[in-house]
Amino acid sequence: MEFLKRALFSFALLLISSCGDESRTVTIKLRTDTFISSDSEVNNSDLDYLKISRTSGAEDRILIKLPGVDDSEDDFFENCWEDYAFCGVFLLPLSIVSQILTTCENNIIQASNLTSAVLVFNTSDGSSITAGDVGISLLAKPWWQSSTWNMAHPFSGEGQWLSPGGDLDNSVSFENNCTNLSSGSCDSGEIKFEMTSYFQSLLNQQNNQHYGMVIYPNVDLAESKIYSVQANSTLSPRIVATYTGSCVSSVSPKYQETKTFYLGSEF
Amino acid sequence: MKFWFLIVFFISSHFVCAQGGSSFYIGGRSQLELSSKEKINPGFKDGDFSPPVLGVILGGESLSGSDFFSFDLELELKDTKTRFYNIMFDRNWSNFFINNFSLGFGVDVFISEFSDDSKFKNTAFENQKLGLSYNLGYKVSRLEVTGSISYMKTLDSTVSKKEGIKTKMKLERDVIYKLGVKTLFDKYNYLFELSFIEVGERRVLSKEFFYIIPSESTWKYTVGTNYNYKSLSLWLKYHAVKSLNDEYSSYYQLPNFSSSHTLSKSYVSMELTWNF
Repeated sequence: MEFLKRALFSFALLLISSCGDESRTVTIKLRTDTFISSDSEVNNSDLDYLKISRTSGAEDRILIKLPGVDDSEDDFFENCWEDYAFCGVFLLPLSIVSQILTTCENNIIQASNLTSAVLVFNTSDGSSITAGDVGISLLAKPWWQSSTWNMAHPFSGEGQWLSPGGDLDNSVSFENNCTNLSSGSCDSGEIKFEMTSYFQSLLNQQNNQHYGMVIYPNVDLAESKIYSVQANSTLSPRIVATYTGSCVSSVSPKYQETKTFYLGSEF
Repeated sequence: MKFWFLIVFFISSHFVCAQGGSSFYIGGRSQLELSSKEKINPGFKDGDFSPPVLGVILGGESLSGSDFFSFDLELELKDTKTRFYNIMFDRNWSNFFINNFSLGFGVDVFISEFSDDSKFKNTAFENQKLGLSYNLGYKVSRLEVTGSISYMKTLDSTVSKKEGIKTKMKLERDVIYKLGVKTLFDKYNYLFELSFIEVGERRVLSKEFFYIIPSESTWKYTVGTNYNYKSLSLWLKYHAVKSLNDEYSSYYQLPNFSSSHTLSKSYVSMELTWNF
C-alpha cells in the first residue's frame, strides 16, 4: 500500500511538472543584411549598424534576407553548382521554419501550430521609433551584398532595381512597426514587425521563393542606427517565434516553446 | 619554387638540344586604354579596368629540323598592388605534309596576384587560367597566315568574402578561334588578327544568392605595325573588343586583365624587344 501511495504521488508530481509551459531560446545563424542610401553608392554590408531615415528627400532603407541553406560551406559549394534552384538558396527559410516545429518527437509542421513570429530590431542608442512610422515589404528580386539604391547586384543589367530603393513584392502585406503584434509589445529601442501569417503561409506552400525584405520609412524620419548582423550582439536582428503543439501524444499536455532566431553570427 | 625550376629545366632542355639554332629575346611592353566600357562595374571607378601599364617579356625560339619550340614568359604590372604572370609554350612542326605548312599546339598559364589592400583582392578579377591551343600556319612568299583554336579555362574564383559569406563564380571554358595575317619583311611589317570568342556560361553562387550569366559570343581584333632595326624590334598594336550584350555582365564574362586584355573597349600596346 505504501509503495502504491508513493508511486501515485510520484506520478502526480510528474503530471504536474509536465503541465507547465516551457520556454527555450535557440540561436539560429542568419547571415546577411545591409542598408542602402539614396544619396550614396557606398557598400554598407560590413558595417556593425544599419540605418533608416528620410529627410529632405534623402532616404536610407534596410535590406535583410532570411537564410535558406543550412549546409556547411564546403558541402554547399561541392553539391550545389548543378542543383536546380541551387540547393534552395531562395526558398523560404526552411531551416528556420522546420526548426521551429521539429524539436518534438512528433513532427508537427502545421501552420496552425505556429502561434507567433515577430521580427525584432534594436536601435543602437535605445531610442524608439513611433509605431507605424516604418514599413516592411518582401523584395521581388535577388540582391547581393554590394546592393545599392540603384542596383540589387552587379552581375547583370538585370541587377538594376526597376524602382530605385528596391523592387517591392506586394503579394504579401505586413503591418507597420509595432502594430498588431501577435506576441508582446515594443519596448524602448525595439522595432518589431509581425510575421506570423507570412510564416504560416510559407509552411502551407513550401516552394515559395524568398528573396529578402526591405524596411523603409513611411514618414519623414530622423536617422536611427540599428544593430546589424555584423554587430554580433544579442540585440542584432532576430526572429522570435512561438509554437504550441503536442510533443508526446499520450502523457504531456500542449507544449509551448519559444525560439529566437538571430540574424547574425552565433554567440 | 619547384614550379619555376621545372619551367626553367623544361625550357633549357629544348634549347640545349636544338640543332638548328636558338634565339632569345627580352623586352618590355606598355599598354594604354583608349576607351573603357560605358557601364562602370559597381564598386569601381572609370580607369580601374585599364590594361597593365608595364610588362617585362622574356622569350625564345629554337629550331631543330622541322621541330620548332618557343616560349614566352611575361610579368605585367597594373600598379604596385597587382601582378600578372603569363607563361606560354608553343611547339610546332613545319613543312607538315605540305611545304611551308606548320602544325602545332600551345599551352598557356595565367596567374594573377593582388596584394591584400588591392580593391581587386577576392573579386572575380583575381583569377587563374589554363589554355590549350592548336595552331596552323602557312607561309607564302612574304606573308604568313595563321589560325588557331584555343580552349581557355578560368578556374573557379572567389568573388567576395563579405559578412563571412563566400561568393564564388564558376566559369565554363571559352573557345577562341583566331585568324591572323602577318608580313615577313626585314624592316617593316604589318599584322591583322581576328578572334571569335565563344564565352562560356558563368555561375555566381553563395548561400544567399545565385545568378547565371548565359553563354555568348563576341570578337576581338588587333592591327599592328612593326619596325626592325638590327636586333631591336618594335611593335605598335591597336586592339578592340566588341561589347557583349550586357555590359555589366561582361566584366564577369571576360574578367581578363592580362593574357589578352578584354576589360577595355579598345587599347593600344607598344612592345620593344631585343633579340639575341
